[in-house]
This record gives sequence, structure tokens and C-alpha cells, in this order.
Amino acid sequence: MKEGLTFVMAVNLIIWCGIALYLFILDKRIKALETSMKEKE
Amino acid sequence: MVQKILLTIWMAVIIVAAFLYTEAAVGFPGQTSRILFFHVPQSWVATLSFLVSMAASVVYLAKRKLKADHVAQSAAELGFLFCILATVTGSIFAKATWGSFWNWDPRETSIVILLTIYGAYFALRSAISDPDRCRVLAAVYSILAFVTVPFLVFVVPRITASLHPENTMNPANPGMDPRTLTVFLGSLFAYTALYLWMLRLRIRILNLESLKVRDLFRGRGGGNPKTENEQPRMKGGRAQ
Repeated sequence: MKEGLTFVMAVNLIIWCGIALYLFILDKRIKALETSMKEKE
Repeated sequence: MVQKILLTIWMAVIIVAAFLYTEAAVGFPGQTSRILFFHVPQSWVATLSFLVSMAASVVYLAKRKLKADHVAQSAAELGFLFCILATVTGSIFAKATWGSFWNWDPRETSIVILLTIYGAYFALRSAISDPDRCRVLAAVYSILAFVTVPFLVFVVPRITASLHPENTMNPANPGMDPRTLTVFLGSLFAYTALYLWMLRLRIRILNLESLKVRDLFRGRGGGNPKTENEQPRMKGGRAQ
């Protein structure tokens, strides 16, 4: 049972890290776009 | 940036604690009760998001600010997403405890109705070509849609016999294990913070899209839009 729980926890952690990484990248790209828009104006 | 890094660490801690720090609740098969730490915060965030969408729609109708419409649209999208996540996690729990992914339990039926109501919100937004009319109708619809939320989320499942656990997993229940309560409240906080981060990102994307359309509009010699609301719309009920 303990191995099963650790496995599910690890899968959860991997999924969460993937989501967080995606959000960080998205945040960075949006910031870059906002900066370039401001420079244009 | 610091808050986002802290949230990333906090959510990881919650995941580890949900599996290793807390004990499985009595009366549930195996470890299925651990879904509490994910399923309930998802439902909470979905309800919160629909509330935000309704409030932003009221602001849009009162002030006609494009940003309020962006908030309403983003919140409705995220509410819909978290509602789907809550449905899927609930379905997994149903399979493990009741033997079937779908049982047409009052709770499951009400969530399907809720998803249909908010699905129609997006259909409405994509069906009207006039941007101003689209925003006004979407705002009115969002307010009307939210009227159903308290009934479908809180009232209907409680006035009818349901398989859905209420007392065992209710944090107000004095019998709830303190460790479980701590992790549960931590998870609620983490999910709410994650939702706010996602909402902010989505609003910024919509703002950028409308700025891009404004630039295109000017570039094509279509004249200067006098107000921020006078922007062309291609599809999806929003500036592209």
C-alpha cells in the first residue's frame, strides 16, 4: 500500500511541476509581449 | 515572482502531505478519501470563479469597461475548467466507492446541468458577431447563470438523497482529524492562489489580444476606434 501511495504522490508531483513550469513560461512570454507592445506605443 | 515560487513549493508540500502526512478517513474503501484534498478545492475554485465572473459582468454592465468583460470571460473559462476537473476527480472517486464512473446521483446530475449552463455561455459569446452586443448579452447571461449556482452546488444535492459523502468530509464536522483539516485548508489556499495566478494570466492574454486588434484596425486604415469598446471581433466572442 505504501508503495502505491508513493507512486500516486510522485505522479501528482510530476503533473504539478509540469503545470507550474508551463505557467512560468507563459508568464514570461506574456511579459515579453507586454514589454514589446509598450515599446511600440 | 517570489509568491509564484512559494506557491509552487507550497502546492508540492500539500501533495506530499496529502499522501504521507494524513491518515485515510474511516468508512471509505482504501485510500479513496484522500481525494478530498484535490476534489473539494477544485469545486470551491469553480464556484468562486463563477462568482467572480458574475461580479465582473455586473461591473461591465454598469461601467462598460472592456477589462471587466475580460475578467468575466476569463473567470467563466477557469470556472468551467475547474468544474470539469472536479467532475473527473469525483467520477474517479465514484468508480472506487460506488462501482461506476457515473451514477446519475443528484450531485453528478447538478454538475452536468451547471456545465451545460456555462457551456452555453461560450456558445453565446461565439455566436454573436457584434462585439458590444456580445459583451452585453454575455454579461447578462453570466449574471443569470450564477443564480443557478447556489441551487445546483449547495441546495439540490442536499435536499435529495445522495451517495455523495457530506458529513465525513465536511471540515465543519468536529470529528475531522486535525491533520486532515490542516492539509485540507492548506490545499484550499493553494488552489485559490493557483486560480488567481491563472486568472491574471488569462486576463493579460485577452488584454494583449485586444491591443493587437486595435493595432491591426489602425494599420488597415479603418480609423481610430474612439473607445476601447469599439474593436472588431472575429470569432470566439472576443477581440483577436
